[in-house]
Amino acid sequence: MAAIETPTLGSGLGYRPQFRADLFAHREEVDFLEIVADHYLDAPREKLDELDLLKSHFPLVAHGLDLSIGGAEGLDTRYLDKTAAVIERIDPPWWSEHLCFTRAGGVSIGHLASLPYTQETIDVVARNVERVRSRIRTPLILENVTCVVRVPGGEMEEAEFLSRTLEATGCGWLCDVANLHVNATNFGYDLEAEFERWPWDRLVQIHYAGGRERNGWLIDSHDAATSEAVWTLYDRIVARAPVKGAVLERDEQIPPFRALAEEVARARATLVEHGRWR
Amino acid sequence: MALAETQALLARLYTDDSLRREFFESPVAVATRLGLSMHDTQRLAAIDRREMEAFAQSLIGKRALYARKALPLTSRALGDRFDALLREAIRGRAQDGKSCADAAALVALLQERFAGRQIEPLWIVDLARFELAFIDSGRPRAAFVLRSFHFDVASIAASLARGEDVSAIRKRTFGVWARPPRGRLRWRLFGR
Repeated sequence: MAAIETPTLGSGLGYRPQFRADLFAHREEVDFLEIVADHYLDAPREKLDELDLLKSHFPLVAHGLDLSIGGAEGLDTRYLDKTAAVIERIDPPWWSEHLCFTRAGGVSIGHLASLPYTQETIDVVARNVERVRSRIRTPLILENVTCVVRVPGGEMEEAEFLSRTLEATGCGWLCDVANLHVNATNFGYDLEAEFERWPWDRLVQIHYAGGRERNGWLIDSHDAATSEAVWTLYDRIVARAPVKGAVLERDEQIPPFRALAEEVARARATLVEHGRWR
Repeated sequence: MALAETQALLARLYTDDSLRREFFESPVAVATRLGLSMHDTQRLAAIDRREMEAFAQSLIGKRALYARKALPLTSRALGDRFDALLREAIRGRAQDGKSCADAAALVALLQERFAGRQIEPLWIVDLARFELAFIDSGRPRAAFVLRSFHFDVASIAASLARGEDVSAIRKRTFGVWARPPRGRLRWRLFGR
């Protein structure tokens, strides 16, 4: 059974204003868009008009950055309310957040920080997801993040932590293929051998992107074309999991739109090959 | 594990260079001072310093990237000096969740340098304040911003935007930015 009952959206693109004109000139090459909800919190009228324009031309899903769903202090109610307003405006079939914490003790970290892989953390996430559901009825799916700092005291590996968290919360999975690849490479585990330990049956959406290497570390920087290693993993995942949509993320060094459209087309071809898209 | 206390300490370690240094010299002292139990302290003391530094540096890099986007012409004019000045401006300051606070801190530092004639070219401060005025007036609530400049800042910005060399002219200039709540921003410069 699917993690959530929702339409299949196909091969999409993370919307960035830099390529808005090209996007509308090549509308038929992108099946749906993912907007970053945070870009529309406290937005001026022009920005909200942009959201309405996108909604009238593409199916949309929303992606949040700073909910801090794993934060033990609970959620920021004002942030949640603002996110809810964006989601109500676009009425997507699902929306997503990162399985991480982004603030604690009055400090905004400014990025996605890894959680300790413990039962206590799972309980915290489950409590926070319930709080989210009381405010936003649209199904929430959770994304695996790049781990840079492994918090000591973990009681399980990432795959088990993710599986148990999704089970405890009832959320679907946004599988970031690049993050899986980055973590496996940086920490030297064999994703191929451990493939079946991941909760593929809960998968709803995929993210893929390119990154770079710095000081011997792979960085999920979204500033390069998707690597062949990530494409290989993507193909295997699409063959295995009930993917409803795949989204290319590109935030920096944005190339000519043609290059983005080619990646979206390649992702779509795999979806079609495995019967995930028409 | 007391998750709230652990996350609070981690958040500080990720964002505070001095505390991070102190922690790796004396983890037990720092962690217990900040409320962790002895059990959790001993566990957290095993954290990998290289991983912690990599994450902390990535946060600084991200803040610099956002600041460059907030002040694109200032970034272009400062070139390689931008990141070093930004690091100095935000040293010891955790990100406060407002994406433009770091840009404002950099502008404040440039103003200090300007007062002491420690920054070249001098017009860089006007340029940074000019760019910051758009940010200050772009907030969701109503905004009315007044700025005075020593140089013909509009010409400086236009030259940089075109990728041309800047030949700055000293000219007393005033700027007004006005915006109703969630409405359209209007601005104008007046030369004297």
